[in-house]
Parts: sequence; structure tokens; C-alpha cells
Amino acid sequence: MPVSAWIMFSVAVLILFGGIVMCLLKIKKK
Amino acid sequence: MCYENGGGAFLIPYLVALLTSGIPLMILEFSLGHKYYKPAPAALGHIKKGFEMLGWFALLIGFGIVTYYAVVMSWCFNYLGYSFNLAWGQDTQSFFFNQFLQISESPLHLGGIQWLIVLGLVLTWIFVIAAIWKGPKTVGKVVYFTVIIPWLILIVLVVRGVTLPGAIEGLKFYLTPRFGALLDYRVWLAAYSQVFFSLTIGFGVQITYASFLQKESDVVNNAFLVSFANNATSFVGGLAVFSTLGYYAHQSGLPVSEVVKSGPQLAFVTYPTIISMLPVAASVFGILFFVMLLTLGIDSAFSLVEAGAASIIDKFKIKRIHANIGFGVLALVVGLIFTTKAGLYWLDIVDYFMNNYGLLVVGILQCFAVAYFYSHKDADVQRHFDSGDKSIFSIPTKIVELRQYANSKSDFTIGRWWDFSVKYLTPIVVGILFITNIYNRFMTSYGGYSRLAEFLGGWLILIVFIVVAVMLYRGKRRE
Repeated sequence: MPVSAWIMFSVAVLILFGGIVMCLLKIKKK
Repeated sequence: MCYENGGGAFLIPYLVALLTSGIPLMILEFSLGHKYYKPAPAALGHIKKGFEMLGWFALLIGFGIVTYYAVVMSWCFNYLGYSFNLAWGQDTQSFFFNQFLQISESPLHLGGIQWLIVLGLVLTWIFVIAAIWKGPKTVGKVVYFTVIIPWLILIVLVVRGVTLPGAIEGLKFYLTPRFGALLDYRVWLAAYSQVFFSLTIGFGVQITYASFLQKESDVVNNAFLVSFANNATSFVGGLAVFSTLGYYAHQSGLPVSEVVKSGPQLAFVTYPTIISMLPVAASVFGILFFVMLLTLGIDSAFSLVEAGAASIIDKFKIKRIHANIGFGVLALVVGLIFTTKAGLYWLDIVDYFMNNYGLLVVGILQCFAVAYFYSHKDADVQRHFDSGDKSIFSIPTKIVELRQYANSKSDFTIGRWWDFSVKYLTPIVVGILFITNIYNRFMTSYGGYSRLAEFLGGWLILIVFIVVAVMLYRGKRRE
């Protein structure tokens, strides 16, 4: 797969799953 | 949609739309439901009494959608049965259109009811009503299964998909960006509209569900979490679909661009073809695929029904069991039109009008309601008038009040960027989408159908929904 495809894949994973993890960590902290 | 709009580059407008409009609207709906602890009509009625009609209209759009959504789930039930012996054979296209649907020549040739589809429809409604039998109590338990099962199956399908020969070609199609597409405004409009539909914004569902949250629940965090989780599921679903399409292209010797399909064609023609091609355990993957669609579908269906039933119970104080069964029976009877031989045509027309007109109108008016209206009863508005400030620009509208409320309940606080999105950005984008759609329909009828079919399946339904929304609004609230 071209590098640009890998970059798009990584950005989407980072934002979407990073977002989920961040929200879950906040809930756990509470 | 991703492929049609620049492949991997579509992820850029999609994520921008999610962060600038999808999540802000989600926060708006969550805050409304959580603050007033009421379902959509009553919560919107708190802003200005007349906006209660908007809440009812939103729920009626949800009702319209769930009538045909349940029929698609009935197809899934039938195809789940067919998966055991791969009954669709080699020519899946002919099987779906000619044998299973026995599709007629036009929407006006109904050609009688398909009893196997009716059977699946009855089964679907039994499952949906059972899922919301005791309201939020049962829903809370059912979602453990209807969320975890499809995710587990999705992971299995992704692993199977990416390990098939040719998968990489499909993934290249999905993820390689064609940045030129970003200069096309239609790609951006498509991204915003996809985000609204996928987050179920404008159905009144999120307002109602937020009213079930505990008072100490975090509003902003929940809105972010639901939005990210929803879009992450879509993204992973894309990996499963495109890797499998890559395998299909590889096996059939066609380029990936020629095997890409969307909607019913993808689920009931392309996927069964691919399932039949799998070297091992083809039936198992067929069963898993349709169980996944069913569990995902039940989730969406009962959220729409629960939002409607909760609103009826709240206003007219009828028993939950009566509201649920009444809703289910009415939706089943209305949905019979989609079980005829012309059902697919009607489904296509109604789906287009509900999503492209009904939801967009609700989206725009909801933003206007919050951004530009206020209630004279509110204490802070009263204080404003008492202070002697006569400027209309400094009147505290609901948007400030809602933002302060959301922040008071949340760890992540939202700033004025949220006001900007709800006041200007979202209404402008949704407004452009709406005007573009209206213009297109004046130029040509939708999907090449006759103007009569378009009127009956589209405009007439919207008019009926407006009339019913007014009637429900005028109905006397029981205390």
C-alpha cells in the first residue's frame, strides 16, 4: 500500500480510537 | 461514498465534519435532553412552546425510517436462513431481484405481498418490541449483546478480509487519498451529510436517550464518546468491506472500481457472491455477516421506536406496553408496502426523502431554535431585562445557557467554538445541502421515477408528517 494510504489510516485510527480511549480514561478517573 | 469522494482523502472532510458539526450537534441534543429530562418534543418545547412540533416531526421522520428499516432487517433474516446452504447460488443478482424480491416493473405496479418478507418483518418487530419492553431498563441490558456481538463479528470479518488474496487492492481503493477531490465542494457536502446521518442527529433520539442519563452523567464526554465510537465502527466496517471487495476483484479478474457497490446491492448481491467464493467455511461467514447486520439493525430500530414511545408516554400518559405494541403494529402495517413486489422502489424513494429533506429540516430548525430563541420565563433572560439593557444582541439565548449547563456537567468544557458551529457553520452547511437537494428535484425526479411516484413516496409523506406533528402538538397533555 502507498505511504499516503498508511498516513490516512494512521490519522483516522489516532483520532477515532485515540478519542475513545481519552473519553474512557476520563470516565474511569471519575 | 468514500470511494466516490476521493478515496482516503474523504477521511479528511469526514473527520473535519465530525469535529466541527457532528459532535457539536451531538452535544446540543445531549444537553437539551439532559437539562430538561424530557423526550424530544417536550425538551424542544422548553425553548419555545411551538418547537414541540419540531420534536414530533423529528420523531415521525424516525417512524418513517423504521417502517422500511424493519423490512431490510426482514431481508437479513431471510438471507440468514439462505446462508446455511448458500441458497442464492451463482447468480446472486438475479436471485435477489427476480427470485427473492420478484421486483415489479415500476413503483405503481405493486404486484402483491411477498409472504416470506412479511414473516421476517413480524419476527423483526417481535425482537424490537422485546428489546424495549420495559424501556431504558431492558434497553440497557440488550445493548450489551447488540453492541458487543457485531463488534466481535466485525473483527472476525476484518481479519478474514485482510488475509484474503487481493485484499490489499481493495484497501488501496479505500485509503489512498486523491487530494484533488478536496477542491470539490460536493465532497465536503457529502462528508457533512454522511456525518449527520450516521450519528442519528435530527431524529430526536439523542435528546430522548440523554434524558435517561443520570443527573451526574458527563454530557460532553458522552457526546464525544458516542460520536467517536460510531465513526470508528464505520471506519472498521470500511476495512472489512473493501478488503473483501479486493478479493472479489482478484477472483473475478475485474478492477476494484467495477465491483464497488453500495446499499442493498452491496449487502444482498455483492457480499453473498463473495461469501460463496470463500475457500473455507463459506456458510459460517454468511451467517456471521447477516447476524452482524441484524444486531446492528435492531440497535438502530429500537432506538427510533423507544424515542417515539417515550414521547407518547410522556405527553399522553398511556401505558408503556400499549405505546410499544401500538407503535410496532402501526409501523408493521405501514411497512407492508415495502414487502410488495414494488417494495424496493418505494423503499428507495422514502429513504431519500426522509434523509435528504426531513432530517435536514430538523437539523437546521434545531440549531435556529437554540441559537436565536429564548424563553421569557428563564431567570437569566428576566435578569437581562431587569438590568435595563435594551440591546437585542446581548439577550442571552438558549445557546449560552445550554453551553453553561453542558460545562457544569462535564470534565471537558466547550467554548465559543461550539456557539459558532451551532449558530453559523452547521445551519449554513445544512442549508446549502437542503437547497441543492430541492434544486435537483425541481430539475429531475429522484432516481428517474415518475413524478407521481415521487410525490406519493416523498412529498406527500412529508406533508402528512407535518399535519400529524401539529395534531400531536395540539393534543392535550395529561398530567
